[in-house]
Amino acid sequence: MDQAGAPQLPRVAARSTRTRATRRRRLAGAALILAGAAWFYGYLRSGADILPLVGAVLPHAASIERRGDIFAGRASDGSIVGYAAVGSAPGYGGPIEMLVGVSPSGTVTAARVVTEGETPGFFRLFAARDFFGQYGGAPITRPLQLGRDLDGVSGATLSAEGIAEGVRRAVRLVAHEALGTPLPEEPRPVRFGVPEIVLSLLLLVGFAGHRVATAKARHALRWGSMLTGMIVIGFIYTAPLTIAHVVALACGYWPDWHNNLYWYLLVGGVFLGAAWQVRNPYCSWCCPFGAFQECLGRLTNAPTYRPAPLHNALKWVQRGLALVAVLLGVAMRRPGIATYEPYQALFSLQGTGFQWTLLVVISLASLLVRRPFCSYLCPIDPVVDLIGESRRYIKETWRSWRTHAANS
Amino acid sequence: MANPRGELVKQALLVGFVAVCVLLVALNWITTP
Repeated sequence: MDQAGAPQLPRVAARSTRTRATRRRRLAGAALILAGAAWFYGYLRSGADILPLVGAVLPHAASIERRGDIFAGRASDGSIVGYAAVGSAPGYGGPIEMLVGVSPSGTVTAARVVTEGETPGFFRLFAARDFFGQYGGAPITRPLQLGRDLDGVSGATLSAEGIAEGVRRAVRLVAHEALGTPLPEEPRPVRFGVPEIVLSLLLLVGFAGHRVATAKARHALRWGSMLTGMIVIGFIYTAPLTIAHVVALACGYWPDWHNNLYWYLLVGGVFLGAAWQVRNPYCSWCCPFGAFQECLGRLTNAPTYRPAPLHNALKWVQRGLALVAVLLGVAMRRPGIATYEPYQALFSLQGTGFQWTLLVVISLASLLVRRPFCSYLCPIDPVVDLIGESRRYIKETWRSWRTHAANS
Repeated sequence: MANPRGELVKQALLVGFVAVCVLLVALNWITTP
């Protein structure tokens, strides 16, 4: 019995591995189909009716009429009291549409948000700093740019830039179409500053760090990279990779590369890296939240704890959570809403009560086990896994197709 | 020596941690305007 049974064991194990791989692939395929359906649903229900909102930016208008892309507000005696238009520009979580009113003499009457996909809580920041109040009475000939004649909002830079750009586009449209005084073209220099340089270096270290020969040097390099990531990507710029990037990518909300090179470096570096090399240069090397958990773990020498069957089961919870986040974000066309990572709470001290509680729970758990959020909750890990799985599937299919073609 | 009871407590804590976090994420989504 033993003699007969022993040689069969590897075959049984191999069959079981194959079955698991097939099941994983079917589930990955089902997840992609669901995401596609959610995308289509979101596509069908997107779009907002602007006309009822125009009165808010043209307060003296008794009636509003539409002239192509422009809205004209008239007083009760029929005279024009202002024009309004919508300008759209990419923010943190997709396009931000701004409705802007302009008086016939060329000053901004008011600006308001029509649609946005930012993280909840961002707009509380803008209201608290009276960001939109800066536009009231501003001549349209002013630059209307952050850092020049407008104050930004720290911790929400991308959103503020999206708003400012959206307003400028709306103003240009009114100037060109309604006032007949087109504004000169804006210079659009490519922005490559400190964040882009630091991120490029960190991703390079992430790609090449495993080649460092000695374990000690590798360890030192990884800690250097992690701490730099935590301080620079986390606390200074608050621009870590989140599921909102994945949703924005899927929705086609790709920001203007001239002033968002950072976005492309981050998304391209991590996901193309995973697709091209099956190497993730981000999570273990420079993710600021991963570094934060490891720092806490160092205080207590928290061990890696992955009890085999339970770990695999909990991984499916993580994948399910990531899938729900993507489905929500894609179906509602709001990348910011999908984000459940408590990064804003930690790095910008902004968050809802639930996000703060989540941060506290994760911080406590980090004292007991190594990187609990990364192991069981982070939505990026399943996305990188899915890319790796798709890559393997494509390679295997290609190889078997070539073998089949060569044999026939 | 492995301690099966201790191991069980650790696994229960891990499951509890994930369950609480998933609940917090779900509540955050539900209460988002």
